[in-house]
Amino acid sequence: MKNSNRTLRGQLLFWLLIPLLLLWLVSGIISYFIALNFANVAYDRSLLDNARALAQQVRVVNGKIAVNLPPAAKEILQSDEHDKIYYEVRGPSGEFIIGNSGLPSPPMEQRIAGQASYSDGVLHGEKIRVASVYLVLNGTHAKNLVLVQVAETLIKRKILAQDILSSTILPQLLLIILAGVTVWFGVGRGLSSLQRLQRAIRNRSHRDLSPVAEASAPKEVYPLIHAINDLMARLAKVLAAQQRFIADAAHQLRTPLAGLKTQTEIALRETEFDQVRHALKQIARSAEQATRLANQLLTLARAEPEFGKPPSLKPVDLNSLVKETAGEWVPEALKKNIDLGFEGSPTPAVIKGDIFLLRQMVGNLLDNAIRYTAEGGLVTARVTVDGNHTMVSVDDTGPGIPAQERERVFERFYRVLGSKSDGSGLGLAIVHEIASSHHAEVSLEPIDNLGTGTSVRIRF
Amino acid sequence: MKILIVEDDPVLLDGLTRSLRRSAYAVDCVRNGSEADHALAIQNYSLVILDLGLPVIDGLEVLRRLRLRKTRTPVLILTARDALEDRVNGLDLGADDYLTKPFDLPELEARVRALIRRSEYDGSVDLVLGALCFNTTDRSASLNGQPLELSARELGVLEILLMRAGRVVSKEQLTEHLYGWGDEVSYNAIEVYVHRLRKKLEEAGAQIRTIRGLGYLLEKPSEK
Repeated sequence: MKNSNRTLRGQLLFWLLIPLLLLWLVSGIISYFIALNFANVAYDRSLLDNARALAQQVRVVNGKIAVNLPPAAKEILQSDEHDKIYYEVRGPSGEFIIGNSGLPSPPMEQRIAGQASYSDGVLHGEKIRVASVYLVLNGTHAKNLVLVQVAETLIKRKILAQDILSSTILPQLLLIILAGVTVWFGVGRGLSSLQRLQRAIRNRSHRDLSPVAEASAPKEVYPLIHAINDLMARLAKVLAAQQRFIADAAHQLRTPLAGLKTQTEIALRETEFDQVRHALKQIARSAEQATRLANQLLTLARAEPEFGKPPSLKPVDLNSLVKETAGEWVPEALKKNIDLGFEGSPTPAVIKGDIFLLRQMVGNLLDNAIRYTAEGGLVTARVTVDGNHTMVSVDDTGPGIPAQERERVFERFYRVLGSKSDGSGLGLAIVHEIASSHHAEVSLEPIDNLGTGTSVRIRF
Repeated sequence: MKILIVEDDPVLLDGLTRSLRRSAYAVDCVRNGSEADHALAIQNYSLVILDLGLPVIDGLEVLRRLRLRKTRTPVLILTARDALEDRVNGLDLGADDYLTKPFDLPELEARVRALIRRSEYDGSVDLVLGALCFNTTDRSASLNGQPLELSARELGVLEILLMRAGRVVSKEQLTEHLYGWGDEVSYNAIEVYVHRLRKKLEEAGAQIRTIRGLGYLLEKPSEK
């Protein structure tokens, strides 16, 4: 039952049938009382007729009140299919004359001749209905009234009321059942268009992200279809970005692999030690290149919000983070005799960010700076706090980036013309991606007016 | 036989250069599109190996410009892009062959030989002159079926003289075919190669004649 409430059909049936059944019950109770009333009116009249007929048999014989009941009349009075019938005649002073004693007196105080009244009472433990009439006997004083009462039990009244009730209430019940059945099939028919929609969606390939056609569905479902289509559009966008990324990544990995294969082949063919050694050096170089590329691709994938969870933001002290990361790059800088330095801010530089990603960002900045700076150059990592803004910057004394290329260096796989380095073209793209996921601004400018050197600044 | 390699990955470039030089080709290499375009505008090459994803000028643009100059130099595209449309596009723009990275070196070498054979030797595998035979597949020469011991440079000289047998080949044409950039070019060295070759060919009845001021000429035996 709980489950059917969740279906549209179940809910509709529930909300239709429960009120209808309640209404039916109330209407049944009301009908019963109305029917009982009609039965009372009808049977009261015949009861009174009997009382009047009995009254006509009351005579005064020799100054005494006598009732002359022929046996046939007695028979009529006492034989009834369902009910027991009682009668009673009392004299002016209330004395019992004839009949079954013990009938309750009429409630009316004022006695008027010819006046009829009805009352309810109990006799021998059974409920009875009593019809009473007063009459003046010929030749006696007008104030000497004789009371004639006829009473009966209530069985046939009840039977009549029940007959009336069942003749109204059973067709109603049938109507309700009919309504239920109609709703059952009507909802089924109405839902069949939804089932068509469901089939259309279910039969779709998981690659098909085109909008669902709304034409076949009922208008009430349009908002749902629009929501689904909106989701589809967003999914398609993310999937397209993902596919582009994977294709880019695969292509980028192919080049170092081609280098690896070629150099391996050469090494296998060569017999001279120096030649083999040269090839092996080249192999090591492209293996390193492929490793770095794979790592960078992973970082990029993690930084991109479309690919998974948003970065987990926690308070990060940039002073210590940049200092630590710079420390890790010192050996690399020393290999090229580059003077790598750190300048922290005197005030705390705490922002909300993802520690892993921020470390990757600073690492890529330093990697880039060291990679593109000639031997003996200068690289400085800096943290500054200026009012509400915290800034991380990495300056180098490398060749600098021409003005027309400064925008493009943040594109994936873009490499500056003439650069002799093994860069993958992903470093600054990663920096840009991570900065954007932290709502930070990235800018790139030369360190002096001559256009040499590069200063990359991240403003949080 | 001089080949231009256009490839921006230094390791791959190094590998290709070394492998092709081993096969006695003269090799020039450049790392971006504009240098490639420049080199192709001023030099004749027997073959260009062209990467597509190049800095500055894209490989396809280099190819388009090359074909605009009505040059018939065969072009072998070497790229990571392997979608059907990329291959069709490359071939439609005038490339002669298409190889996807990563490739097998022997296959690349075979394709290089095939392309050069088609454009330079009219498709034949052997260049034959009397008893002298030059096999373009393994780049070796033989005389009466006996292999000739020749250095890479001597082979180069023999190859071009055989290809133009009966015609004059200038020293400039020889150097252009024999040397890549950065190689030390000297006419004296060419004279030495020709001298050595001449001695080794004596038996074949083929004679290399020096045409004063013009260059060299390989005489066909029948003309003797």
